[in-house]
Amino acid sequence: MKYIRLLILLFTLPLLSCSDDVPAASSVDIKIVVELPEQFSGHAAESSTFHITNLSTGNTIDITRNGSYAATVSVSPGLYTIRYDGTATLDGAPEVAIHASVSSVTISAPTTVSLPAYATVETDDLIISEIFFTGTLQTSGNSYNGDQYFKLYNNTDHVIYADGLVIFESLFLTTEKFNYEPNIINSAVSVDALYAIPGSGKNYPVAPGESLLIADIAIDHRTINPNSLDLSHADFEWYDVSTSPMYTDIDNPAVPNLDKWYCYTQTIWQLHDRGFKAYGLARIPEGKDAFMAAHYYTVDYENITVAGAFPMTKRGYWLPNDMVVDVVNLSIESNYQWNVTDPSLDSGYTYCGTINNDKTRYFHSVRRKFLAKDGDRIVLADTNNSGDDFNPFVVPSEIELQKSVTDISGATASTVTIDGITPAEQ
Amino acid sequence: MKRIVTALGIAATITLGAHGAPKNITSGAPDAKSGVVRAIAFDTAYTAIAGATLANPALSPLRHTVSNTDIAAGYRRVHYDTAPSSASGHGTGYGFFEASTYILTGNAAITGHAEYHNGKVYDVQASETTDASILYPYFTADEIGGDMSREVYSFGGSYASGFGAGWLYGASIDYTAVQDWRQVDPRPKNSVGRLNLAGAFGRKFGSYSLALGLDALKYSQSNSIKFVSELGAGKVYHLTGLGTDYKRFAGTGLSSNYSGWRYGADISLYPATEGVFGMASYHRFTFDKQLNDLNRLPVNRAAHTDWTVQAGWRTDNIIVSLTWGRSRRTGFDNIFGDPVGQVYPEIASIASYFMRSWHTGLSGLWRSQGTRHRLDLGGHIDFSHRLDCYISAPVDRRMRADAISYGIEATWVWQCAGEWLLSLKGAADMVSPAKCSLTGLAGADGYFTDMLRADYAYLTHSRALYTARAGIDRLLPHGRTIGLRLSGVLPVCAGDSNGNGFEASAVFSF
Repeated sequence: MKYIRLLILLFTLPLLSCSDDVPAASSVDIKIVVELPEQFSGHAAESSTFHITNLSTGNTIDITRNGSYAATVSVSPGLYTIRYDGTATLDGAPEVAIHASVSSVTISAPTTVSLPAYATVETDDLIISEIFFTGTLQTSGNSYNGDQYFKLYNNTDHVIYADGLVIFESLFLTTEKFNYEPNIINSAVSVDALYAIPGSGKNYPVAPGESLLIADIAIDHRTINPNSLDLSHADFEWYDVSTSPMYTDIDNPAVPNLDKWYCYTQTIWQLHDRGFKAYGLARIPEGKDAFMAAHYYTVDYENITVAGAFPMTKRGYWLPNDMVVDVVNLSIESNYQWNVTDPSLDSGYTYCGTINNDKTRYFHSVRRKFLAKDGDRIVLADTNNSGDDFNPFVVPSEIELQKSVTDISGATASTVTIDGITPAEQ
Repeated sequence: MKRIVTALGIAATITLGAHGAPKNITSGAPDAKSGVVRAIAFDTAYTAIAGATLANPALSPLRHTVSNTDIAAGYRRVHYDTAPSSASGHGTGYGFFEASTYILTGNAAITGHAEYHNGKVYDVQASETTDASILYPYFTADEIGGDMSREVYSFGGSYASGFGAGWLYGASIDYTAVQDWRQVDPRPKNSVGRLNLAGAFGRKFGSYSLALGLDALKYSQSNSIKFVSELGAGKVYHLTGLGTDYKRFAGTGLSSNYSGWRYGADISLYPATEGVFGMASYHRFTFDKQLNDLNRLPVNRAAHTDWTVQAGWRTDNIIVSLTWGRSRRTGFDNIFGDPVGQVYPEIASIASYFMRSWHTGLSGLWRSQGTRHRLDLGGHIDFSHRLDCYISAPVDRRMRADAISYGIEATWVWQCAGEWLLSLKGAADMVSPAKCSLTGLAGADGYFTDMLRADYAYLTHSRALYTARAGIDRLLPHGRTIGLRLSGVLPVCAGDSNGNGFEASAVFSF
């Protein structure tokens, strides 16, 4: 009998040991401090929100600390992006939005993280409202990308002249990061293509709420690819004299060409059709010749692979941040590594497709979000965060307007929207 | 095809080995060569109750009292309307060829087996990785899933004997290869290898045999996914437990490797005829998952431990066993800093997944055996507890699923109409959920959390599985038998039918 009792005791013991013995999660305390721009020193924050995103898990902790530019939070060790959004008021001045962000912060022990802040300044110039970089597909299934375009938009309440506005492409990829030397990201954008809108100053006015369509090849592409668009009504096109007969451009003489300042390729410039680069607008007061003479630079880095480290060099131009009017970082979630511009210019990214070589990306663009209406004028979002300001992976406006093909199956667009989401009747 | 030929060759070798064995048979009744005696005396139900103890290779001569070789071919299918687990799918259906032998010769026992399965796993969701139960939670997954074609090759054998004054030894080797694939997008192609080696030494103490065993398992799986559709590719995720995934590498890593080792030890005691038996064992299994596309980046690793204790008592016609087991698994997410080129520096390894489980159960079987019949009446009752946690601030998800399971079974084998042997079996196994909870999912949505909720919902339902089996064997000269087996299963979930299953096979035994 005693053996039976012993057995019963042995096998019921585990029932009693059902305590919550799950190990506690690893965590470290970090202090986040916003370093204010000089003009805001001493002014209390009206509202403050910190967004701490764990890049491994995707988990985000949002903390609101109104009246404070600092916060302490307990997080799992890991790699983080930390963002700050707040508002502050100078004596007698209107409220100003303040943002700060740092990316790729390694947190493995208690530490203090400093976030250099910048005030969002309303851009008194054209902004990029849409980039159609993915192109379309031919009925054979092959890609077709002569129909890429930009749309620039006057988001202000007054006429802006597009003359001299420079469209640029970043030298670096948002999906590939190296230790670049020199690292000039805080003061300049490294670019590998510069094309300027012609004009002597007041040739190309853009009224409030109006757009400019800038196409790669401003022709009716439907004659080549029935799935494509008619871009013959574009305001401008970029044209390249190619050194290779294999790759030649088409020039529509009825549409003015952009002034080509520089492009890395000896053939024809096409936008990265997976969206791995940043595109932007700049005002360069010194003009082409002076700029090109003074801003060429080379950047060195090591390509470290399992096979070893290989010294590499890239060449391009550095474009000072204070000349940049607008910039949009493009990437894809699965391969995103960094923003190739300073956070004060753009602290997010937008995308078409979610994985590398995503075949569903074709026939899609990124379009700036509708914010409000000022009378009849549409006001678009512009907070210098492309992740917040753009609707990603939406039907391009020209496809909507022309009711053209929206995917390889041949389906056509049936609705027109302001921003890819908001109905035009809004 | 080459593998099929190899498997069949091994099976044939085993078969031939067994074919020559009867003249050396010394155990069992004098007419052990009789098909009737063998069919009645050689069964697995009785020894299965002491299975944990008899798994020690040095105790292999005590598993049965007669030699037996079975060669079977047939088709086996079970389909669940509601999947018990999304990652393991809605059931399996496959044709099989299986050969197994158990030969007692002198004081030694030789065993061997070879198997080939070819079929499907139905509608696997939230995992494109094979061996969901072994590698949980670190699956590669997409949001599409579907049926998976499967081929399994398995073979192995063991030898156990004695030497000197009551010393025992035994060793076994088993190898299983699995190939899973799908011919529509997403197209996984998984190759699994499991190599198990075990060795044991022991000693007889009177009628008891006590053995100490060591075993090791090498596990490997290569896993790759392709999309060929012109309309686009699905996104691939690397799951990290309870509906979470490694966001940073989502969409990358279409090719991955799993590699692991398990090692363990046990001490086992078993009587020659009747008496108490028991065992205690410890096993530890560790594995890691590497993303081949990122220079074999080790994104996750896990460590799993099992403790098992069994104590029981047996006579010639009764066997009773109490079993207790406890498992723990800790899973780690390896954290990497900014890549420099193609190299990701590891900056931390965070334990974010925990699993704790234990079970305790009582099982028994009563047997009435004559020269021409056998009747087994058995039953079991078990209590199990399992807690899965994923904790990484601010996420704290926990799923608890406790259950009481119980069941009865009856098997009747008898010789009828002279040269015919009939067998009937009926079994009913029930599972009643006890304390269950799923917390930390407030506001969480998405495909993988939906799958988690579905898996949890299944665990909170009462379930049952009813089994009926009938077999008829023709007695042939020289102790051989040839027969047919038919069985059907009826799964029940929350009081409603939850699918069906059947098996049809032809078996040649000697």
